[in-house]
Amino acid sequence: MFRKIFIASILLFCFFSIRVVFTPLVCQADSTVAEVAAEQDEYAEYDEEVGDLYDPWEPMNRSIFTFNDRLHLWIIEPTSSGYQKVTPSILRSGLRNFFNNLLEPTRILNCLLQGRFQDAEETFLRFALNTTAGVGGIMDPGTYEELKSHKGQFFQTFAKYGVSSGPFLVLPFFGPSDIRGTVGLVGDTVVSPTFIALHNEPAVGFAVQGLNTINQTSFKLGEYEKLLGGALDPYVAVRDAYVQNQQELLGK
Amino acid sequence: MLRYRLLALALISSFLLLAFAPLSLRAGETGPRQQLEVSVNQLLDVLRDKELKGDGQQKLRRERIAEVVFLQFNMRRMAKLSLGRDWRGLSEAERSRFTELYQNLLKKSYVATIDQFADEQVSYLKEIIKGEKAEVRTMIISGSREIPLNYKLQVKDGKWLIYDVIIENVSLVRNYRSQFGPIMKKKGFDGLISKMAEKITRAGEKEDG
Repeated sequence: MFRKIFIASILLFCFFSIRVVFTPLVCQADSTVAEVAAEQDEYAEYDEEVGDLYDPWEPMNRSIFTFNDRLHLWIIEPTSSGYQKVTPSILRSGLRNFFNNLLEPTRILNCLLQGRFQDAEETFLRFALNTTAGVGGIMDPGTYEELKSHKGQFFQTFAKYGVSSGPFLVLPFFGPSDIRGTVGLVGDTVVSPTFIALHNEPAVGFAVQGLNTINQTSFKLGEYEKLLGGALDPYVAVRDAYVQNQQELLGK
Repeated sequence: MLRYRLLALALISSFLLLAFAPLSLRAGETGPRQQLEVSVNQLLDVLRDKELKGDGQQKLRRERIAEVVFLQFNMRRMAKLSLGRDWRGLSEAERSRFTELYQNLLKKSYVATIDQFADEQVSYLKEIIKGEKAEVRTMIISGSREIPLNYKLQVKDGKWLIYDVIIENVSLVRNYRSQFGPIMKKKGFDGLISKMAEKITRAGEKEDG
């Protein structure tokens, strides 16, 4: 009986000592193979270069980019900075919540169009709660209830149905986009309440949109400059950031 | 009989010892997230240091941030990946020069960006380890804003070092690679180097003035 255990344990011992002794060797062999492979395609991790992005209108895009850049640095940022100093932060958050709440219907619609029914439902509950208990969206009880607002824009819906992005395009005022994004933006705008205000009373509409921009910027003063502070070619940096963001939003 | 029993016991225990030895060794190593957390905490200490607060201390504060942060960076690898395959054609001296300028460029952009996260909280969302590589996902919570900040790490000499930072979905390395590529193509390595040096000087002037 003990003899059997003895033999069995010897066998076990031999088996495992071989394994233990040789495992590091095998691992090492593996890792050298892996290293060679890694050395070969270590650049491949970053191969989806922006060079692949179709940008036939680069000269035009660059000039619009410069326009937007100056608009931001010379007008929007200073105005926003002054605005931030005189406006209590409660008021600024309230405004931000209000404008954000106005965009929820667009998000719900697009979630529905993309067949993301759970996201649509959650966003709808959030919208309903914030509009009522949150006094027209100024307050944000939805976040306390852990109701998330899900991203849903027309460009995503188009992408879902197989529409490709088309050439890169920088829009004045709106910034980096592409053909699909531009058409999507039109869709997003048409269904947004601010557009309805703009349509009925253009002066009021523009003022409201301006206020929204200034208010939003007041939460990230100086960020734009810092982000591009180390960029050798800010236009390319922004274009690449746009592409990376799109890939993330569209789930690659 | 007793002898067999003792022998068996000795063999089994040595087998157990051997089998579990590598496990205990592995547990002794620090994981990527743990290692990152230490460095992030050091960074937060610098950011919360009362003596370093205010615009007057900006230069010193950013120096300190760079010290703490760059210790965790595999700068040479970042520089190499940001340049892409053109790295292969460079001499050793050129590589060092490029890495040095790259680090200074990060000081002007990345460090300046990190500098504004003073009163923010960091939450660790996820740690994905694949062999020698890992990704740690964090979220910077600043008031009601959430900024996703992910790190890519790789083991070097037994330590997890960062080789890419992804701020709000934008990979630093990829973003630089998209810029370096066309400049290399048009103006060559010397053109790139002088452009980098120029940018660093200009950004430095802006900080001082």
